[in-house]
Amino acid sequence: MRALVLAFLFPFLLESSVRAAAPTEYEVKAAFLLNFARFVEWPADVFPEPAAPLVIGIIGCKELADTLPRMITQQTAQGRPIQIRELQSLESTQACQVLFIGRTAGASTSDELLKSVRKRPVLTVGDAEDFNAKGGIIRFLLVDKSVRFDVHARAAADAALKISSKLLAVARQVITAP
Amino acid sequence: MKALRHLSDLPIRNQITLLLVTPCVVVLLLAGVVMMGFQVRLLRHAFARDAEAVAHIVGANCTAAITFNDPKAAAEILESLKEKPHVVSAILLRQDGSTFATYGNHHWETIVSGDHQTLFRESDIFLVEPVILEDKQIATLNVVFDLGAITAGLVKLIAGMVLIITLVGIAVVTLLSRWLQRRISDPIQRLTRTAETVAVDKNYSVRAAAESNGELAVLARTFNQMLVRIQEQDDAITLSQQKLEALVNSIEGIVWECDPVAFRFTFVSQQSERMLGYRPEQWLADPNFWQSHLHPDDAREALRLCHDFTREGKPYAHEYRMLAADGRVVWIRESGTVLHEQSRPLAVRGIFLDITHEKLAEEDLERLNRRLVETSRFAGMAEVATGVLHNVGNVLNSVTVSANLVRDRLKASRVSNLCRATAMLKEREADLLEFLATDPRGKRLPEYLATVSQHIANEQASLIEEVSHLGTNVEHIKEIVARQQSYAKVAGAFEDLHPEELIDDALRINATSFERHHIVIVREIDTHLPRVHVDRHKALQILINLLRNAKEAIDANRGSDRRLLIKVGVADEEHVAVRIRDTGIGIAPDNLTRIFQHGFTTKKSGHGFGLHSGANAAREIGGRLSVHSDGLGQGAEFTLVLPVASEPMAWRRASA
Repeated sequence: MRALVLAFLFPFLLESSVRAAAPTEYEVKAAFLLNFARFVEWPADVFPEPAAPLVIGIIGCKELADTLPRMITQQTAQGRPIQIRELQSLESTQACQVLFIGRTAGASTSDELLKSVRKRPVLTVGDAEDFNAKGGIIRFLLVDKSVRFDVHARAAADAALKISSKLLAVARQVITAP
Repeated sequence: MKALRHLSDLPIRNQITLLLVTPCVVVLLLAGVVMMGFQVRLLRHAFARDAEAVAHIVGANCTAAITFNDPKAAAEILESLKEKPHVVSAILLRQDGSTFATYGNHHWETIVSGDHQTLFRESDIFLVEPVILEDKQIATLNVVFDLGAITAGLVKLIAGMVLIITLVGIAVVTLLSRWLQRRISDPIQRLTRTAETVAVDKNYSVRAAAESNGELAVLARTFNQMLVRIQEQDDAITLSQQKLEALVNSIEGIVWECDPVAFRFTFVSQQSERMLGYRPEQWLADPNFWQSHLHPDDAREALRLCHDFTREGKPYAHEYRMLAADGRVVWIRESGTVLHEQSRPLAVRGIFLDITHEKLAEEDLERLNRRLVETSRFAGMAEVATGVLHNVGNVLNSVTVSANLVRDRLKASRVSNLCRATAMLKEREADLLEFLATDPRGKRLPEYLATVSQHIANEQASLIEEVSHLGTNVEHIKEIVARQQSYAKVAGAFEDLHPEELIDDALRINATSFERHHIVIVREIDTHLPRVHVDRHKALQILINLLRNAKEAIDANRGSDRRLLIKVGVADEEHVAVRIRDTGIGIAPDNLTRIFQHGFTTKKSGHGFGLHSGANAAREIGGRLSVHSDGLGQGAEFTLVLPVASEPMAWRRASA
């Protein structure tokens, strides 16, 4: 009864709970991706103006690029609107604060991308198995069919990003070695 | 109430201490209880806030776990609540109400809410904490805190504190009040000690100390003033008591006080020792002293009278004999007054006077009186004789005068002339005719004889008259003697007489001399006079005397107005006055006072017995003899007042 009243009062809760009923892997990953932005702090000069949007760049993952825009309606992260960009080239990573590198991007592109954003305040997320080893900050993985993630804390620190301890607490593994 | 009564029995310092301490303790306890209430309430709220903060932190820490759907991580975070011993259980709920993670055994209902809720329940606090990430609620945390244990702990703690504060407060207040109450109790105690000294030692010279200016000092000063007054009055009382005692002891009689029932004496003056030889202490020590020292013959009667007098409650006096220490019998006159309080006899006070001498004198007097009565009886008899002789003597004067007159007349009688004429005739017997015819002497003889015969006849008539007068006087003497004899029979006896009767008798006795001296008698006797109660003989004797004196006074005056006024009237309710006024020579003012003295007389032949015995006789019969005169030549008025017979009411009715 109480849940019903609350659902009535807050329709988005209902919406999310309905969706949560049977989320696909990519829906979960999309949600995680959005939420990562909420537990990470960027240096202040990353955003040119206070109302500048948080830009999430996606490369090499068609499903996520399709799912994500549907989910960001009216959503914010760090008090900023969220903008999704499906990236085609390396140059366009410059304006992103979050960069998702999917498997389909290919190992060389992935390496190049990671190299280009190294030491820059860009939160790199990927689902390749050696993503962390190559300098990526957050790597998705599946544990018992549920989506988990590892965090490369050293890489984050190098990128001048502050990752919330809460996020680290939830991570499957936190990598601190260089 | 009882406790309060006991309180007033305590010493004042303890009372004041108690007075100071009690309100403080009460206030402290009240404040403590109120404070405790507030504290518990405040602490509960503080605890609640603390709990809310804990719930908030835990909720906030869980955001990532929820966001990234990691119940295990959430459970780990919740597990951190075990650091808070009062947390009973916690449960993290998804927005659809399903359980995300739990801590402890949460067996209560779960609440999913977007609002913070802090529900105080019987023994726990139920917290509902929404978990929010980026303004969006992502879950709800329910935490239950055990309040009972904490409240009990709190109450114990605060009660302990209150107790400690109260105890410390009592100690401080007691010490403070001990110190403060001296300001009040010390002067009061000093005053009390002074008052005790005054009361116990009767020492009024002590003074209470009064150094400050408060009410207590005023009280002490006033107390001192009172003491000064009391001391003055005490001195005055002592002085006046000594004076009074000296006075009482100087009274020639025993002043005493006793109870009105058993006659036990409570005060006896010092005179007792002098009068009876008993010291007052001896008297006071024995409850029956008075009773046991009464003369055996008088004891019963004296006791009875005392009881009667006390019952009557009026001042009284009676006489009886007491036995002195040396065995003397002392006559006592007891005068007493019964003192009452609310109409109940309280005490008897009075004086015992030694009347032994009076009693002896009385007996002497009695003896003397008896002798006097006897003597006066003889004197009375002599007096009667004198009176009779006096009257007879007076009449004998007339008899002598008459006899002399007859003798003189007879001496100067013309009978000798007749004898000479008869001798002349016998000488000339021979030539009697010639002698008568021729002799000039003879020729005048018949005429001479006729004249002589005439003279003799006249003489005879005069002598007859005088002799008859003489006879009358002799008869009078007989009458006086007879009357005297008749009076003598009733002499000393009083009878009721009409005053006119007495006047008539008195006038009859003197009638002849009045006639002879051509004295006019004027009678003015009121009608309806009451009868007088007198000794007839004595009254008559007085009146006869007065009448004779009047006659002699008129004679002596040689005036033309020879009147004697006899006036009888009422003097007052109990007396009749007989006034005898003459136009005689009167009485010189100097003699007025001496006129009734024995042996006083102005007459050559008088013996000064008449008026003196008259005045005495008047007194004896209950009357009075008085005199008034304006001086020599002015006449005199004697007044004899006689007592009215003893039924004056009847007379008064008749006269009205």
